[in-house]
Amino acid sequence: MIEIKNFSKMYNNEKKAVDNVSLKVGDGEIFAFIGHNGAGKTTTLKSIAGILDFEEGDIFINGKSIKKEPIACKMQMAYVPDNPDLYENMKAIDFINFICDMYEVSKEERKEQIEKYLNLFGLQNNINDEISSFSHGMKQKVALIAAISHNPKVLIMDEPFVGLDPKAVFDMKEIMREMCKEGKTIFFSTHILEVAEKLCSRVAIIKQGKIVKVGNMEEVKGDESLEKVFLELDEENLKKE
Amino acid sequence: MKKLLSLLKATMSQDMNLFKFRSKNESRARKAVLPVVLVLIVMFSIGSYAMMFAEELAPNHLTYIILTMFIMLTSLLTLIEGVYKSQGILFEAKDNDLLFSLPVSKPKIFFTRVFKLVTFQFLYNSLFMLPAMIVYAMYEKPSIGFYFISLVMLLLLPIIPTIVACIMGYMIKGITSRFKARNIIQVVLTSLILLLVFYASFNMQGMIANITQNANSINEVITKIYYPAGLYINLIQNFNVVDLVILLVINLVPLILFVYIASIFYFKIISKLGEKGNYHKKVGTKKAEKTFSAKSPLSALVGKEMKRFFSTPIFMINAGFGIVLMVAVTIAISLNFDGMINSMMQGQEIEISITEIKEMIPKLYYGFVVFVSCMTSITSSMVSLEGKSFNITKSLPVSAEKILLAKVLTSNIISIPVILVCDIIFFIAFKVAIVDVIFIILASIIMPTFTALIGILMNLKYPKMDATSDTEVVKQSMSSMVSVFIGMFVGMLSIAVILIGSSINLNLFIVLELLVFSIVVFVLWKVLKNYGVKRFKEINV
Repeated sequence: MIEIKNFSKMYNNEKKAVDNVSLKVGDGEIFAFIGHNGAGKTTTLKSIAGILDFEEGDIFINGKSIKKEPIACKMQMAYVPDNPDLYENMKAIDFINFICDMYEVSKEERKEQIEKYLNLFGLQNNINDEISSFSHGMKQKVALIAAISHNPKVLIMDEPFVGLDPKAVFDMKEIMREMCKEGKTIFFSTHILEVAEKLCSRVAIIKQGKIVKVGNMEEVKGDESLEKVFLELDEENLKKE
Repeated sequence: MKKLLSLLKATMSQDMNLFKFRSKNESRARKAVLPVVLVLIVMFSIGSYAMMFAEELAPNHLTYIILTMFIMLTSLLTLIEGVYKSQGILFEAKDNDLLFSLPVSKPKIFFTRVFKLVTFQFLYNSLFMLPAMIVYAMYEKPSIGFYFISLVMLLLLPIIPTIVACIMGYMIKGITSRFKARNIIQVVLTSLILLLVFYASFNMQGMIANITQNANSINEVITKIYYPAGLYINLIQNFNVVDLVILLVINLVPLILFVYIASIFYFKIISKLGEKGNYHKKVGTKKAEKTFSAKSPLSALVGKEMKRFFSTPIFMINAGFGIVLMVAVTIAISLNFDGMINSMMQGQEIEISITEIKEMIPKLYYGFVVFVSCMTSITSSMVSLEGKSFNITKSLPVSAEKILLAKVLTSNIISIPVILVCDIIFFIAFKVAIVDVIFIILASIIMPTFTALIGILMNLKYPKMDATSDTEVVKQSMSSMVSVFIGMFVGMLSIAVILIGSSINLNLFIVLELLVFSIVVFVLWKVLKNYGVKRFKEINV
C-alpha cells in the first residue's frame, strides 16, 4: 500500500511543483496518475521511489516512511523511470542481474523470473547485448524486466508504455493485472487515457501540483470517457485562471 | 554565419554553466569559492616560478625567454590533453543526432566541436600564460602594444596544438571505428601516442635546462622548433604588421583547412562508431545460464563501477594514464637506470654521480608514487558519469553510503594493486632499505585513498549530470578540474620538498606527511558519510 500524506515538493525554494497532495493506493489496486506535462506527476513518482528528497509531508510504503526508512521501503518496491536511462555500458543480463543483486534475489528465483519475462518480451536472444545498442523500446523492456524480476510488492512506473510495441503493451497490461490479483500495488503515470480507463481501478488527475480529481474510475468519469473528463477539467481550470 | 553563431551559442551555453555563479543564488556563489581559490593558488605558484626565472634573466633583458618557455609548455600540454579530449568531444557527443538532423553544413558542425576544444584549452592555457605575461610586464614595463599582442597570442595559442591533437584523435577514431574491439584499440593507441609525446619531451629536458645559461641561442632554437613563439617575441619587441598578419595566417589557415578536410569523413566515422554492438547480435553465442550469478550488493556495485570504467576509453585513459606512466617509468629505470640518467644529464653542468642519484632514488620514487597517486583521480567523474541513470542508482535499496563506498573501492582496486606491483619491481631492482619500503608501501595505499575520497567529494559538490559527452565530464567538469588542482598541489609539494630537502630530515618529513594524510583520509571518510550522503540525496537529475 502507498500512502501519501500532505506531500509538497519545491525546487530551488521557488514555486511548489507538488502542493499538499494526499493519496492512498491500496493493495491489489492499479492506480493511474494523469495530468499535463509539468503537472507534478514525475516529481510525485520520484519522491515515492525515494529518488527525490522533500520537505513537507510524508510517504508511506506498506506503513514504512520513505523519509525515515528508505532502504526498507525500497526493498519492497520497484521503479521504472519515464526514460529508460539505464547503465548503457552493461549487457542486458548484467543490468538485470545487478538489480537482482541489489534486491538480494537468490540465483534460482532470479533465473526463473528473468527467463520468464525475457521470453515474454522476446528479449531472450539479446540478453548478452550491450544496452547501448538497444532501441528505446528494447531498453524500456529491460527496465520493466529488471523492475519486476525481484517480485516487488509495490510497482511505481512513469509512462511505462512509451516506446513499447503493441505486443509488449498487451503483455505488460497482463502482468499488471496478474500482480494486482496477487495483492500488489501498482501506481503509474500515463498520457494514454484509454489504457488508464481500461486497466485501472482508481485514478487521480493532477494539475499544477494539486490533485483536482481522485476516486474510482467510475466515479471520476461517470458516463463519459476519461479523455472527455480530463479535457473538461482542463477547460474549467482555464476559465478560472 | 547566423546559423553558426546560434550553433556555437547553443553548444557552448551548457559548458559555460560551469562559470555561472549568480550572486542572487548564494549556494552557487559559495560553490565558486573553492575553485576560484584553487585557480588563484595555481596561478600564484606559476607566477612565483616565472619570477624565479625573471630574477635571473631580467638583468640581461632576457625576460622574454620566460614567455617562450611557457608557450612551449602550454602547447605541449594542449597537445597531450587534446589527443584524448578530441576523441570524445569530436566523436562521442550525445547531441550528434540532433545536430546532424539540422539543416547545417558539415564543416559548421565540425567547427563547433573544434571551437569547444579550443575555447577550453584557451581557458586552461590562460592559467599558465597570464602569470608569465604579468611577470614579464612587471620586469620589462612594456608598451601598450605588448598587451594587445599578448591577448591575440593567448587566443591563438591553443589552435595549432589542438589541430595536431585533433588529427591524432581523428586518426585514432578513424582506425578504431573499423574494429570490433574498438575500446581496447583506442586505449592502446592513445596510450602509445601519449607515451611517445612524453618520451620526446623527456629527451628535451637537457635542452630546456640550459635555457638560463645559453639564453639567446636557446631562444633561437625554440623559435626554430615552434615558429609562432618566435613571431610573438618579435612582435612584442618590435611590432610590425607583417609579422602580425603572418601570426594570424599560420594559426587560422590550418584551422580552416582542417575543419573543411576533416569534416568530409566526419559523418562516416561517426556512423561507423554508431554501429557499436551490432556484432553482438550473433544470437545464442553465450549460454544464458552462465550469467545468473548472485553477488552481494556491495560487490555488484563495485562490478558496475568497474564496467563503467573499463567500457569508457576516455575515462580509462584520463584516469589511468598516470598509472601507465608509472609502470613505464618503473620498468625503464629498473632495466636501464644508468643509461637513463646519463641521457638526462647530457648537456647539464650539474656534477652528480650515478651513485649519489641511486642514494636519492628511494625518496624520489616515494615522491613519484605520491604524485602519480594524487593525479590518478578516478572518482572525480564517477557520479557525473551516471548522468540520467543516476535515478536508477538512487532508487536502489542500498544506502547512499554503500554506493559511495563502492565508488571509492573501485578507484582503489584499479590503482593500488598496479602501484604496489610497480613498488615491488622497484624494490627488487634497487635493493631499497626497509624504512623506504615501508614509506613507499604506505604512500601507495594512503595517497590513492586520499585522492579517491577527494575526488568523490568534489564530484558530489560539483556534479555535471547533463553532459553531452563523457569527455566533458572527465576533462571539462568543475569536479575533475578541482580534483586535479588539489592533486597537483599535494603531489608537487611533496616532490618539491624531496628535491630541496637535503638540509632537512626527509624521513621525518615523510613520516609527518603520511601521518597527516592518514588523518585526512579518516576525516574525509567521515565527511563523505555525512556531507557526501547529504549531497548524494540532493542531486536531482
